[in-house]
Amino acid sequence: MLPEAALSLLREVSEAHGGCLLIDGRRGRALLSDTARLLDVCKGLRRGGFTRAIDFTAMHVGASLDSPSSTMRASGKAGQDPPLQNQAGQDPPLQNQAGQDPPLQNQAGQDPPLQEAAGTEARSTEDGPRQARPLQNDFAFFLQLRAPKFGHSGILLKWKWSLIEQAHPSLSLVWASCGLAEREMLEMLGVPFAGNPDLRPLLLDMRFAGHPLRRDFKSPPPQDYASALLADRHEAGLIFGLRQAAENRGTTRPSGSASDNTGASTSLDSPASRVLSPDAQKRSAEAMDYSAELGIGEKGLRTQDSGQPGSSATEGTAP
Amino acid sequence: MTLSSIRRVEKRYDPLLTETIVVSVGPQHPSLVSPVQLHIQADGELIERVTVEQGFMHRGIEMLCSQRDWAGCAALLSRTEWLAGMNGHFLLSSAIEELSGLEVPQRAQFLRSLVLELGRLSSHLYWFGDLGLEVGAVTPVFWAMREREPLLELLDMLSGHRWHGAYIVPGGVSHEPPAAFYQRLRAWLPLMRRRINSYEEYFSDNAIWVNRSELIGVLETDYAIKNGASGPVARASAVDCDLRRDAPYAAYGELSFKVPLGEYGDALDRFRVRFMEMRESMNMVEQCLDALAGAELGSARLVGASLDSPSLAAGIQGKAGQDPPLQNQAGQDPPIQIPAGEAFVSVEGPRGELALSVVSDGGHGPARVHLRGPSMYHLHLLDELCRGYLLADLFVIYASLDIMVGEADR
Repeated sequence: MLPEAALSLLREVSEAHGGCLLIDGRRGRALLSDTARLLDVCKGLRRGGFTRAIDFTAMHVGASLDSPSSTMRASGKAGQDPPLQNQAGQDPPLQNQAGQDPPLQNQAGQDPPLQEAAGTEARSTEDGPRQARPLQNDFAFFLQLRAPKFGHSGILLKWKWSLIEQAHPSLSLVWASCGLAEREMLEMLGVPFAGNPDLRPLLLDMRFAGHPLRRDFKSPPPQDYASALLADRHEAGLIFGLRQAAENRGTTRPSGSASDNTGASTSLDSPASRVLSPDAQKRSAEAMDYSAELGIGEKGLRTQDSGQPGSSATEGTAP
Repeated sequence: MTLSSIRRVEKRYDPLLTETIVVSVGPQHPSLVSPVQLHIQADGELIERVTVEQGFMHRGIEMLCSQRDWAGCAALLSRTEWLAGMNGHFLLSSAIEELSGLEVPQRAQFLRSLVLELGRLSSHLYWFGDLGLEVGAVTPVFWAMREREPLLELLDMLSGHRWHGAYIVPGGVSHEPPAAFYQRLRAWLPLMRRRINSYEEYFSDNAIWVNRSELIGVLETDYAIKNGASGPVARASAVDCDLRRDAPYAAYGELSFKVPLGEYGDALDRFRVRFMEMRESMNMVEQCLDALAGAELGSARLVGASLDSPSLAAGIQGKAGQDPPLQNQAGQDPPIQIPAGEAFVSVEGPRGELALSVVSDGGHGPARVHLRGPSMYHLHLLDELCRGYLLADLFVIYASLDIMVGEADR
């Protein structure tokens, strides 16, 4: 339940920008129907007292054409909207705008003759190239704000944004704490934010490709961690030192068993082949080659006692 | 970066003696409990800039949640902030209640508040032990673990798990606590009150601690508000925010408590605020116990009746060891379906505001889950807080923020 002062501020901001906010005061939510005024509305809210941005996040709602599971989920997503449309129900002319976005785009995702369905909007000019794309870049954004002035009461601002037309403007100049959330959204969802000076990766590994929270993201097969690690070490030159040390200790294998292990190592690499670039695969194969010489068997156990080569390399657990 | 931090650096700048170096701390470091990497640009001992790298503990909790059913999500969310794991269960339960319109019985609300406050105590005690280690006092960590032990045993008694007790379930709590739970908790409280006082004196009477924390790591009110600080860190900087009072959930609307505030926003204030919070928590626990012993809450039902396909509640209970687990494994009940919609719930965790955003598409699990944790924002305050202080102050400041990397990285 939003206090009356906060509610009147919301109404004020909405009126100042052409009534672009659909306000549900009971639940403390507001839907921004005209995203062109996003930055102005945000500045107005901040000036009015909503100085704390608690959370800023997004959800990928674009439906994929090819995979049936995602269209199924998208149709479920269309059913998710009624609460917001009920809010919109207070305001008939705006309800159309608000209700228009996700269901229509989901239809567009399912039916090939989609120009008529999506043709009401400006983006219909881009339909030609977009049909080739498997995915629509539509996102729902959620921003949670709190106002110390109104007893830290919070509102949730929601809007939809299609990234095909333009990049999303950064809110980090309005609320500094949004900068971190935008960094996270860029790597998780692939949403670029225009105007954010610091968009370095935040949580994911630098080698990780893709945006895991997008609908079209396919999880890579389980990565062969050991071979990737060895590839890294090879890159760093550490492996040479290791090999040198092994040679000094006299634990290198004769070439016969090494080639056996190389065969095994290529099969080890195969599940990782989609994750590693060809170059990295080659390096990792080389690294596995060295590992065979080092005596790191298939099970990853080092076999010491160089006395009897060959026999212990395949067992891996020689005492 | 604020003007005062620039001035701090300028004031202590010594052009004659030293050159700028970059020190990399972590991700594995004896003073860092969890993996974070800090690149510190320092002029001799004077910190000029700290760059934080996180993500070493990223487990993809949000993505995993969207691939699991509702019961699985609760367990995952509890693993983000494991010192007070009941917060994750509470967040998901209240999100499900918001989505499906479940009412929580009053007695269950008090039990929820009780468990959440026990979680806060457990987390703050752990912080207190860690703080001692950072400033070179080894004894407090043993005290802290000693005081936590009966607390964890109480939680174990309640839910069958010491850390990730799944006691809070959608529609209420999983069951009425045994009578011995109330007795032991009542016996533990006065002892804890006395000991908390002596622990605070141990620190606040100590010249070394006061010198190392007073006016160290000053977080200004404006900067705290702008950069997403919440919880004790914000309150120490005189931001008067507490969700338990501002947007009451569970039974907090009916409990009376004070919201302790700091004055200067330095490490000492954060220390004081947390100790005052522990006392308030114990007062709240006592109020909950009194209310639960009262007649008007005595016979209320604990789990909401409208959860007619109880597999979700049963699944969580099964983990707590209360239900015969075979029934759940046999898969007699299909996983529960939650109506489509969006839910945004917040809870005042031990470190600050935890906010969960859930989008349901009406399926067996959520379509999108996002957890906002306070630690990520507090971690990136380090740059501002450390500028102009010495390298030795870094870990005092770090410990005073009480950062949990599992929740920052998710």
